[in-house]
Amino acid sequence: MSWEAIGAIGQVVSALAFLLAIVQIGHARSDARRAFAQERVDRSIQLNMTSAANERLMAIRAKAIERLRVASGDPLPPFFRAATEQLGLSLEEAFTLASEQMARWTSIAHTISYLPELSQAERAQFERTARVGITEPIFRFWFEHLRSWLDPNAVRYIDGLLAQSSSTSA
Amino acid sequence: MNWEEVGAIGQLLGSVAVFITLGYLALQVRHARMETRRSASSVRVSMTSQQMMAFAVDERLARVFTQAVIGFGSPLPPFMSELVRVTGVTTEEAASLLFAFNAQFQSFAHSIEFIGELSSEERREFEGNLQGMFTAPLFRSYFNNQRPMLNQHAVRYIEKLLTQPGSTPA
Repeated sequence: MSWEAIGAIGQVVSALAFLLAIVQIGHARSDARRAFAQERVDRSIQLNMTSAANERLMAIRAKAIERLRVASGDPLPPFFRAATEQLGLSLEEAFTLASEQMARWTSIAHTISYLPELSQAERAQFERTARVGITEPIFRFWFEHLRSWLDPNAVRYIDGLLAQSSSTSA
Repeated sequence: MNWEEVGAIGQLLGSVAVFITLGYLALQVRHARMETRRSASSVRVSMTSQQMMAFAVDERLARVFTQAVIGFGSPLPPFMSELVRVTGVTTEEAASLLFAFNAQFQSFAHSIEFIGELSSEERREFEGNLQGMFTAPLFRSYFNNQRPMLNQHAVRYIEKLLTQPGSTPA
């Protein structure tokens, strides 16, 4: 092999190395996006759970909303109306439920967004746990009222899991 | 194809690669700067949200804050005055809600600042949550009354969002 041939091979190899570098840059970018999404999710869960766990804050919120609603004549949003009328919850309890379910959903939806990055075992574990969680009547109730506001990808995924669950149990 | 031709093609690819590498490098430096800024902002928002939530959930802290404001003869924040006037909640209770909503708004504002980092599905869910919250009477009252004190970039974003169809309470 001549020096000319070695040089040519070197040039081709360096072009391939460049392609690999581009792929790596793409990964670094998606890692940054993921970190941002994770931070948002953590913060949202923390805010929702702190509120849900604090009876006093929920009571103040319910009291203020009820009085504002009476003053303005606005109807209760559909979920809260349904929770108070169909489940017999107080408005305070309905807020607690909404915050707790939102925290739970935020975590599930985030994991669904990054499912391809889970190992097979992690994914199977997630699906088993999620299937139990999403077939709970309370989650179904919350989900059906809020679905139009939620991440459509995650909603499709949950619908798929629910369909599998009902076909398995049928 | 002889070695000379392979070499020429390799050299051509190499030149293109150098050109594109420089472009990517510039892009990467920009992303790295943004990532640093985002990360610093995220830490700040998380810390202040936690502090605000501590005030929101702790009755004693809310009382001390209210007594200090009244003691110094300072006017109550507009949202608190409005809430006390319209709903009849106590000033301490109004202070707790103010802090809880401040924590929530900080988190929203941070996500809005870096909205480009969200996937289209995450963005849709996030904007759905914003529409749901800001059309509900209590948070709307917070937004309308505290508007001048809030992050103006986030205020403009939310105002624009609320003019879009589908902004009805969930």
